[in-house]
Amino acid sequence: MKTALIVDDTKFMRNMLKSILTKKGINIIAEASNGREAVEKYKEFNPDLVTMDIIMPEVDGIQAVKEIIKINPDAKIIMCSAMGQQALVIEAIQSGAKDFVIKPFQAARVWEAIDRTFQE
Amino acid sequence: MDINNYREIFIEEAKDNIKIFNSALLKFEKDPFDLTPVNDIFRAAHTLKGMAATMGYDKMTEFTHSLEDILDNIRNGTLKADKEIIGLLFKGVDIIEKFLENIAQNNLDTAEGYEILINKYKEYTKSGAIKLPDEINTKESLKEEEQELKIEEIILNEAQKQNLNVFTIKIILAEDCVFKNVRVFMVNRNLSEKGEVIKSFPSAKDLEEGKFGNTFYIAYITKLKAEEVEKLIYKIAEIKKVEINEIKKDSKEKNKTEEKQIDTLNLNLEKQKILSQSVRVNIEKLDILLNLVGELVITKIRLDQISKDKQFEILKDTVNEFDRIINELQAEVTQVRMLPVNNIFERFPRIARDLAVEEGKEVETEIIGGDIEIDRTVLEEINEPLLHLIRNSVAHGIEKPEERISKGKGKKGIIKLSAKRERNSIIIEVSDDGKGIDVLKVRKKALEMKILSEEKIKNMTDEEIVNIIALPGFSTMDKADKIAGRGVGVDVVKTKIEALGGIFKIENYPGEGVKFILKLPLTLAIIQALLVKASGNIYALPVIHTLETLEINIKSIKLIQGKKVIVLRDEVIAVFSLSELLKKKREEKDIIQIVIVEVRDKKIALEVDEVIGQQEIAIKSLGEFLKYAKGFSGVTILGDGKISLILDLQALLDEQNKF
Repeated sequence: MKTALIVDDTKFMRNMLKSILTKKGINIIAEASNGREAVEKYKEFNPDLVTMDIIMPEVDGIQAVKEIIKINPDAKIIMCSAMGQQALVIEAIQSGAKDFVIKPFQAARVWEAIDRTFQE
Repeated sequence: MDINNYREIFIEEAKDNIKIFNSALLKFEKDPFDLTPVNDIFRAAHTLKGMAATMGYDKMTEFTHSLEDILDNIRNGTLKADKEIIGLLFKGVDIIEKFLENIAQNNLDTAEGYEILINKYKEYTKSGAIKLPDEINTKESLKEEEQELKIEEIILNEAQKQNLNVFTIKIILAEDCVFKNVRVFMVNRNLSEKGEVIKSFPSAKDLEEGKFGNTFYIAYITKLKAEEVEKLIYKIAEIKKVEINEIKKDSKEKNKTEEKQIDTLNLNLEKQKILSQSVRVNIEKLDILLNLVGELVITKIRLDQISKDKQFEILKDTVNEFDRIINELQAEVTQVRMLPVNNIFERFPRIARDLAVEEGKEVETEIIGGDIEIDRTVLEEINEPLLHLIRNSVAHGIEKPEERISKGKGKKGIIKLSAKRERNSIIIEVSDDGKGIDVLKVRKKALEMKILSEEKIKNMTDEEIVNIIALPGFSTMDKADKIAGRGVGVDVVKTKIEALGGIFKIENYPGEGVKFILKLPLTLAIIQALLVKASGNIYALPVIHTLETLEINIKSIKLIQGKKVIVLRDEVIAVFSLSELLKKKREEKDIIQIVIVEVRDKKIALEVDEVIGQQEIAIKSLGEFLKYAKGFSGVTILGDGKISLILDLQALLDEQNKF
């Protein structure tokens, strides 16, 4: 069973994602509400997958991606972006994120991104 | 997924975000010059938008989106938040609360008056809503595509020689793919790891901007086989279909071209690497690059020194060459950071006009030298000060139309905004043809406000009086007026310009207008400095502050009211010893070296032990521990590896209270 860390500053979005990921048979082993926490939790749990919000207080998602990629260059991180944030998404991908999904989430899209990210 | 299960938690968290919004907005209202709270407000609005969109509350999404737009403009400085805008933002929170009430009670996605407010927001944001790319011609003409992707013979030959495969690939994205350009970027990223994308259709620029239908074509050279390429692309989400076509050399043409094979031609030179015509670079990375160039400049100076000292003839040419390259590199890197001042100037005519209308005045703004370029950091920093000066001119300078006519001036007031380059500085001037500064009024008000001692004020010349308006807390307005008197005045502008290592001057022409002059360094990282010696140490003086150097006999220093002065071309200039300013012992000599510097619009003769010469220096910060050390703006490393402090004369003189 694959494990995931969900990073978003709102519980609302985390719950949304949790429900989508759980249906996919993914075990949510940790949640974080900002970039700093995300890096800490990543170190602690070493999840197979991370979903990462971009705009968050303190440390943002892009910074967190950079930190996590330093720890594990192969980390599978999927960015969660709102409309109109293309430039930020590109920056995140340049920093090592594998893919992205757009809010509001469509379960099928999220699943597709996960499938293709794990595809070897 | 039943969305209603999430309603409660949605409302709860939306309320949290409203709280954040409100408290940050209150902070912002107190000090609209500090934009930090705007980030919090923006984030709250952004979160609200995301949540509303997920819940399917379209109207609330639309509303929070327009709120986000206006906040974004404030955040990036393109919109100045005045009382009215802040008021509109407060109204915005109220509307969100109404939305939540309706959602909580009846699950109704609406709020009274939200549309009116959206329209008001749109008045302030240039492009109301997210601009969708122009209608794109999605008609796929195969011929055009074939034409565009035609691979040159030379490339095919070379590829074959190197045992590489050439493919043209048709990629179809999912119909509802949102960030098409990001997908293109990812395709390029995946493919570039294993080969080279040499062409694309539509053009790279169009692809970058998302200006295409759902299909695009690329030409790709790689060692991989077709199946492997296909797999590489399918790793990306939202790719609906990939069609790969291998390009083989036409046997007929082969004979034709074989004779004129150009072996030496490097494939790399011929390749048109299309997918990356422009690269987005993080400004931090540019800063690092500039820093490194700074280090190189230091090394260059050092090398120069060594070759001179040790008389290495052979080194001379190499050092000269090195010198030239570094200078070019420095110029190029600096250039990358440069932006034309028009980036901020352009908005001012409109702002001035609107303010004038509010005041019942007529104003026209002229821009001169808008294409002059300046370091983007400097540009960002002067936006606010310039805006303030323009407000000042409109509010205090330009007269009402009737008054102007009675004075024989044109009905419309003219504000001139000009930029020009002067050696290593940029001079920006904001001038108006208004009534000028009323020196008597300022003198009277200064006495009333006891801003300086009575004696001092009485002894001041008119030019000196004018500069009082740049003292903290000074205002001639009796009541806080709407435009300029928002608790910040010309002093803030002055402080900011000086913090940037620049000079701020006011020229007053009573009855004819005022000219504010900002002299700014071209860049903040590498500057021209005059190196001087005092008490055995070498200090760097930014050239922007120096006027001339001279040698004088100690006897020509006179004492006036207990203060040391020299007379230079009929001008009386106060003398300060740098050693004494630094609280060190002054060397007694008969012939002393003087640097005439300009500080706070005043000339000062700075006595130093020795003037070493002018040189480029790379500014380094003083670091955590020394950053509060008054009198120094930074530190630099000299050619011989020694460290030299960069003098901040204003602070140094203030510290001594000799000014």
